Amino acid sequence: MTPPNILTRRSFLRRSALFAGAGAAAGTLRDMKLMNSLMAAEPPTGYKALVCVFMAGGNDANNWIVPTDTTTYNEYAGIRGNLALPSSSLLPLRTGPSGSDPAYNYQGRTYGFHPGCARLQALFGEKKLAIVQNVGTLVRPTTKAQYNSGLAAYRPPQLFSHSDQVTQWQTSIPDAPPATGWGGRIADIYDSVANPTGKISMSVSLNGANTLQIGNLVSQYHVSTAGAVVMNSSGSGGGLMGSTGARQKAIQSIVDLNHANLQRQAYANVLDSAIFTGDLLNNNIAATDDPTDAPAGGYTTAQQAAGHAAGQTFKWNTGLTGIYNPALTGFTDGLGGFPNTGLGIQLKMIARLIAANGPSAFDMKRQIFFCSAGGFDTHTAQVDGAGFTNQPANAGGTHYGLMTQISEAMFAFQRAMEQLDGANPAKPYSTGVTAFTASDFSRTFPTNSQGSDHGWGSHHIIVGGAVDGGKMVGKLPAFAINGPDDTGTGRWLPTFSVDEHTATLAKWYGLGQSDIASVLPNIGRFNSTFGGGYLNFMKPA
Amino acid sequence: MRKKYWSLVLLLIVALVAWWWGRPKTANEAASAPIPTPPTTQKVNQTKAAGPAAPTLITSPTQLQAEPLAASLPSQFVRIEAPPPPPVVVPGSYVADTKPNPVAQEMEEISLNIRNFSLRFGGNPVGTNAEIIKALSGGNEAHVNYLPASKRINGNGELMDAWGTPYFFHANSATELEVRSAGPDRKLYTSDDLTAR
Repeated sequence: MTPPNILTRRSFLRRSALFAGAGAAAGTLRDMKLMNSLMAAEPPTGYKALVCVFMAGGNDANNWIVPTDTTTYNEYAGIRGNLALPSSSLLPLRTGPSGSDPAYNYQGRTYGFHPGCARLQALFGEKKLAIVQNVGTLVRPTTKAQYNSGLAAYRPPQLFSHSDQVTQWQTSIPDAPPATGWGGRIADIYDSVANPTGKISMSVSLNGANTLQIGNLVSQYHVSTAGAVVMNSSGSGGGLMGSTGARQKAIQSIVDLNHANLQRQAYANVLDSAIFTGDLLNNNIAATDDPTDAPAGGYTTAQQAAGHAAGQTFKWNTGLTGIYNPALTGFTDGLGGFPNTGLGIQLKMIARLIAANGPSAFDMKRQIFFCSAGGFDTHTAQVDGAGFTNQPANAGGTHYGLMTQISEAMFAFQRAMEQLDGANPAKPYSTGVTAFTASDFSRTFPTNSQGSDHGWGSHHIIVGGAVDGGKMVGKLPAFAINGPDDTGTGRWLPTFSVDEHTATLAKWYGLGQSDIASVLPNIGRFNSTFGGGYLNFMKPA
Repeated sequence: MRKKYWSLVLLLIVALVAWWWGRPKTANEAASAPIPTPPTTQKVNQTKAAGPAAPTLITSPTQLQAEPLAASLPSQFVRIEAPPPPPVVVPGSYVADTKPNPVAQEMEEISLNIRNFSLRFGGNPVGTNAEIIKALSGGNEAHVNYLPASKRINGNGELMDAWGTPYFFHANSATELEVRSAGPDRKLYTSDDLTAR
């Protein structure tokens, strides 16, 4: 006779089968919910796009948005040590665009942006940028006591691990193995309804494969910063297909044949579609290449000054000098174009794809774009070794460069959307496109002497004309090690979940409540605690 | 019963015979054994040592087999030992150090313990040095201790390296936890750091 606590092979197999069946059933149920949502979704009106700017490595949001009132700043500086930015270097958040506008006050505190974020400061003043404080991956609303209990029900698996937290931010289902991203699930629901005659994928990535855009029905389409990578006969040595284009023609002839073998026919269809999409995309974005584009190396200061004096509008060029040059601080229109940085040229291509969109081109009404910047894992060299030297005049320190890159690129993108609006009073592009940041996690609050380590809850920004900007939502963590918001070494317990952040964006995007529940299966857990699962950073529709 | 007894005796005899054949030979027995043939490489070395004598042209495989090696050696045969093998070189021009490195050994041991923890619990321990050490030292669901008690633990519960600096644990993924020692300069992310994963 088998003792009751011994697992026999038969009982093990029986239990395994039950678990496997339950898992499969849960996945199937989720898919069926998505199918129902797909069938029930209403065709949307107007054009909307979400642009995810991912800061890979874990951005130190503690130095991105810093309290400036004396009491809180002193708490900040006391703990951050040599990571603390001097209060004089912080760029104050104001209630308006002018430097004389009163300071923005939120929950009794004033704030300033990192000294590298002058452009974000401007967008905040223009009320086109909102800040969400302390958002992160959560399985369910969690108190510090629940976190300390160690129960898996209150701890996302593998907290503080890069790849796991990236995945959980992008799936928004931390307590289940990753299968699809929330962007991919939105596309699964919405693509056939919103883009019935769309000619490219709803999910476009400028930075290769990502979890966010993985869907069951809609595949992500990868575009380089120079456009779609296609089989052409250009380039040195004739490109992939030889200088005469003979190979390309030969492949096209093979693809055009009718294949009796179903697998061959399916492969030919995929290849044909890829060739068509790549050519279509490149042909259409060619028109967005402004002939007045900056020369190599960007415009000179004199050229920019002349252009500004002549009232030129934003250009689709790539040149950083105009934005950085302190002599041109009056150039708030962003003359100088997209910065020539990794993120700058990704956002430039996204802007060109949006500009090229139209019934005769891509014919897309809903799109999701993904781009990313790396290097945020600042364990070391986060600021200058000497400490309080991270001033705008001194670009030393890794984080200064990173923050500047985000600020300049997102600002240029917003200005590009405004330029596309032209004289249209509805401002279809600047209000139809919303960019938002995401990252693995924030970083530990105390210094590790050279930088900071992996944290949890983080501040993020949302930029666009539809954003209820010039304001903050959420709650600043209490700056105390082992305080009420700290899980140890200054890793903040998130106030808001990624689900709530995403649900707010999805609602603006046009998804109904049941669609949102399908995309974010855990959102129901947050309803009672945090105002219906939505945060207050988008303007009412 | 009697049959069983005889079978056991027979088995004992067989075992004794087998042991006799397989036992180590005595010095006398070894001296009377035939001299083993030296390996071919020694022939080559010997030929070189004897001077540039013209090699005998071998015209057929049978000739090669028929000629015993000992017979082909000159009478003033002197045994030359083969040179010792060169040190093992691995990619990256790293020459293996045969001396044990206690710091590297300790870090490998920690990594191994983390891997064992991961196998048991389906993922690495997470958090700071102190949290990871606590998890490895029995602060886990099964109360299993993966860390020997003799390790250096400071007052904060952190595991320290040989230079007294807490190890840094960098979580890249659920299965990759890099263990980093700040090295002799006691500063992380400098050239003398040691890592294991």
